[in-house]
Amino acid sequence: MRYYEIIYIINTNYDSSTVDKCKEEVEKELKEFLNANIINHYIWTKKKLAYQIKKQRYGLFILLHFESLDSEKMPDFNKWMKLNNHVMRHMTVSLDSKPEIYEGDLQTEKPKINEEDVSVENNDAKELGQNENDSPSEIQDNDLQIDEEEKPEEDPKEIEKEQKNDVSKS
Amino acid sequence: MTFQNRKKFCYFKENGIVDIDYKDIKLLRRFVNDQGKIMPRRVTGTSSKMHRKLVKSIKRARSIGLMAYIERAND
Repeated sequence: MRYYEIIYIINTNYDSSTVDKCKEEVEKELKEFLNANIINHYIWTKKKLAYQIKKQRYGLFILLHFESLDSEKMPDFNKWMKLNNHVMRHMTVSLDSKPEIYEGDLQTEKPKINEEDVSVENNDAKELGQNENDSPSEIQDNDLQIDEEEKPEEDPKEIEKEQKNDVSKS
Repeated sequence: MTFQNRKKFCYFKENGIVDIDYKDIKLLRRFVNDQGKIMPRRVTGTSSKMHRKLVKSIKRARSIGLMAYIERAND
C-alpha cells in the first residue's frame, strides 16, 4: 500500500453544502480512477493566498489522505482535477508513512482565517536572525581589512600632483 | 576589529525534526529571506540532508499558494 496526500483549494464563497458536494465528487472520482481507500478528508483551513490564484485572494484548503495500490491512473486523476471547475489548484504528494486519522470536527467549528503570516514568533527565530546578521558582517569585515591592506598609500594624490607639475612645466 | 565566531547549528537536528511538512509555513518562513528567496546553507547552517528536504517543501508550499515565489516590498 502506498499513502498519498492531496491538497486542493476551492473558493471561499461556497456555502457548506457546495463544499460537501465538491468533496463527494472528488472522493467518487478517486475511487473510480485509483480504487482508493480514503483515510481522511477534511477542511484544513481558510487562508490568505500568497499570490492570487484564479483572481482569488483567499482559498479554502481541503486535505485528503488515501491509500492505493495502483498509481498508474494518477495522471488521469490529476487531469480530471485540473478540469474540475470548483478546484482552483491541487497537488498530490506521496507520503512515507501512514497518516494519522484526523479526529477534530471542523464542520462544527468555523474555519479561521490565518493572517499572522508576517509576525516573527519564537526566540528560536530571533536566534536564527542573529546568525544571519553575524555571518554577512564577518564577510564585510574581512573585505574591509583586505581593502586597507591592498591600498597603496595616497597614490591618487601623488599622481595628481605629478600631473599638475607636468602641466606647470609645459 | 574583534568579532565572535558564533557556531552555526542545524535547526532541525537541534530540535529533532526528521520530516518537514510543506504545510508548516511558520517553520519554512525562517529559511526564506524577506524577498521570499531560499537562504543558502552557509547562512542558516542547516545540514545538507535537511536542506534538501527543506528546499523541496518550500517549493511545494509555493506551488500550492501558501508561500510567495517573490515577495515585493510595499512601495
